[in-house]
Amino acid sequence: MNKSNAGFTAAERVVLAVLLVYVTGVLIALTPIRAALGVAGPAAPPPPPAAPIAQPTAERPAPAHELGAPQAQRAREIVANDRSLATALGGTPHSIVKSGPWTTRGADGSPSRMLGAAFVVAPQKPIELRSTALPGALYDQTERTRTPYQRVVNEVSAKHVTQLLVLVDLEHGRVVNITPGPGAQEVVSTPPPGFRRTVPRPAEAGG
Amino acid sequence: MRTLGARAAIALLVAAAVCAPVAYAATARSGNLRILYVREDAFHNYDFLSQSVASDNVDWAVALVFWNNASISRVKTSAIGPLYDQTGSRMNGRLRDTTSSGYVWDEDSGRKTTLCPGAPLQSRDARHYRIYADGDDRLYNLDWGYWVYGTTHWDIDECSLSNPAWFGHSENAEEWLVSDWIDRTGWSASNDWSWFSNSEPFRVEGDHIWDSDGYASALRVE
Repeated sequence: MNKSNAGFTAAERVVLAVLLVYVTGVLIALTPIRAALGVAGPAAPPPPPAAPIAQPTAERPAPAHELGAPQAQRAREIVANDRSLATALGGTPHSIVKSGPWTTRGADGSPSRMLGAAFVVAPQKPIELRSTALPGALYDQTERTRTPYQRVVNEVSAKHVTQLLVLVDLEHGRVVNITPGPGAQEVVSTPPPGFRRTVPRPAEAGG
Repeated sequence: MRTLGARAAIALLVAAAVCAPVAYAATARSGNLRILYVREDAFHNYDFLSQSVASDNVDWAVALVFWNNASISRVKTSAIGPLYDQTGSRMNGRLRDTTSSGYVWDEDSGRKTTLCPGAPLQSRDARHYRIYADGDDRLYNLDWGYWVYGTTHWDIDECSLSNPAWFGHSENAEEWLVSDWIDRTGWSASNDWSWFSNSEPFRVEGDHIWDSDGYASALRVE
């Protein structure tokens, strides 16, 4: 037998060496020695605080403005057939990721009423707009008129557009607003020649 | 002859001048507006346009809790301060620090990433948060330590004359703030940490874009 002075064979020494490396690795991974050796690891975030308790409410849910199925279907058809949106998307596959009603606020205490539908349209990949004619609805916060916005068609250029806010006026049966969502880059928008604002200027309304 | 810098400054001043703080209230989803309690502290789960508690007088859903060692100034002067370095219009939070004191109002104009979005020479959009506490600028309880709470949203083309102005996308703004917090302060944050009973499904109310999942984020202050 080929025995060393310690009494181990060559094969036993190899097994011991492998075991030693394994145990050392486990120790480094599982104990604070890792930090001492400067090995980076994910720090456990402190636990979040206890959750609050909500006061029970006696307020009964009132019927909210909701789009009926026929209205929603019609609004989607208007969006699907809108040429400005198609031009903006330039053939990029897209989907409607959010949808809901577009209503007035009920300025001065008047009851709010349905204007149409709102959609967030998301292209599958960020798109670029190059002097694309897009409709915009300059909202009149005073809501003094039945159609509480001024229409404008701006030429819009933008990069990295990941979503578009699309508003459909169901009374007029058309898309009245297509706006790049938050986070779009290098957005430049040019109004048509001679444009004049006729609704009150936008004011920070909870902005 | 004016320099380019002088012209830019004039444009900025003009832009700021057109951003008058005229405001119109939004309406919380029916049944959402309520008080949240944590130990002896309490607060409303929306902020308000004026100092009147009413579901048709709300601004945005509360979606932020800064905790552990927070105060209004400590949050605003943290490492996110240089990013959120502008102020907006004032809104109101209603809260109670201990059971021995009554409810109080706090006003805050918050911090935003652009002074007047959509104005000449300014970015078209801004992320904006407001935070609230009582007289000593922070609340305290054994669970949350020193804490403040708040709301957040985007302001888009707020100061533009020819582009539509939109306000909202709160859920998206909340995610950005949590990400900014972790990246810039190095402190921890839990996105959508706890249910705050103020879910606002996507809808547009005038120019107010509601979109909140009803869960608030917890951002730890060291």
